[in-house]
Amino acid sequence: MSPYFTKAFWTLALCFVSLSGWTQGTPDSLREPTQKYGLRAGIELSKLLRTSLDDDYTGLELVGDYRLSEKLFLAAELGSENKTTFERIVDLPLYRYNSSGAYLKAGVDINNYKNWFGEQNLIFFGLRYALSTFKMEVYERYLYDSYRYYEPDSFVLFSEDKIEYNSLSASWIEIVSGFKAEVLPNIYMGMSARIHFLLSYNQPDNFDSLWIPGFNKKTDNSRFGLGYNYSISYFLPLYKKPKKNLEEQTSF
Amino acid sequence: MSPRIKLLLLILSCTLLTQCEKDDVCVEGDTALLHIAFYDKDATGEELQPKAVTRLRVVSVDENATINTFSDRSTQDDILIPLDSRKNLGDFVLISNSATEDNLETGQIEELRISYTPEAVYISRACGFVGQYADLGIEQTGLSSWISSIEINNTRIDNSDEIHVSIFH
Repeated sequence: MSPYFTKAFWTLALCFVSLSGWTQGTPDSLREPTQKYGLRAGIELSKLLRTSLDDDYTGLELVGDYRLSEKLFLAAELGSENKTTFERIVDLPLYRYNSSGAYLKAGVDINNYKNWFGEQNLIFFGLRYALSTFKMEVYERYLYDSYRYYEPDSFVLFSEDKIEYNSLSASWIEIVSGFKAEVLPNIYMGMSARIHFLLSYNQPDNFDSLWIPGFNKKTDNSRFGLGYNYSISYFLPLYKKPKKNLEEQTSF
Repeated sequence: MSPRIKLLLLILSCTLLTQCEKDDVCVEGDTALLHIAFYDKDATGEELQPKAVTRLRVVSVDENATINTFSDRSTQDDILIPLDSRKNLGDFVLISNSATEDNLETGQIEELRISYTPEAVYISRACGFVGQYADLGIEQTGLSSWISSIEINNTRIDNSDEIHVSIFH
């Protein structure tokens, strides 16, 4: 299954799930003009799915947020990824490398969704500061050559000896936009899209930080990257607080 | 729709669209070729006088084939020779006025041994690594024929534009 199909499938699935969630305004909720505060913790789904489908990838990401006020949430993602890539031009192999490491993203989400009573859904915008520490390994290195005099049908394999680049790091910020919908009591499904802006990274000697765990693919001439996140999480209510703009809301 | 929802949809659709990647094309670099220029050995004055070699044929001895960077048996005042990055030397035969008569080569034959240290140099995501060469050396291995003298201008071959070797004839 192509990654594009996988992503499109989850996008659609979550749209349906979340729409059905939003349309259920239960009458009971009218008697509860309070809002739940607590901790939400969960797991990112696309990385799990990709781990099971793609032999060259393993990844795990834990997601969590903590509600600070009516709209403001502290949010974080903690993850680990390991990916092997074989770069080719058409069918001709160029080089194979692996990136592996861990990352932490921390920041805030601001909820903009005006919930009906009893609903606890979010349409949010957020900001993260992210750090990754990782290592890279380069395996086969072929020499790109447009004449190919010595091997007309492939590039010359220069070396298969592994080169290791340890203690690499990168930092970036993410602008997040997404939603979280309560699909079962205290169970949330969410999706977010992210624009990454790379602040710093290591340039390994005679190679490049081509793929950074948590950041994704780093393109040659741009500091921007893109990410997405599909999560299922459990909300642990800790206390309740009345809704601030109660009068405005009761006019419904 | 509120502007916020519009922005949300915009970001989501951008993410989906950019997952289709363009085909990566390597334009940033290429494996370097040895660049040899031919000059007049009898030229007077400071300036080098280019002097073309007529009906030039260059054969790699190991491959037993003419090199493919210029048309065989054509007149050239500079040539590019591909080096084998799996080895650190290559034997080449440079034939001036090359022609075949009764299955025999009638041109003047010059044998050269080119030595070097190949390196894989990272260029970009699309190109990956290209071959470059250090410690260039050239030796006339056979009897001197049409070449009078050889000068190495740069022992490092990191591009094909620069002239690395001057041959006087």
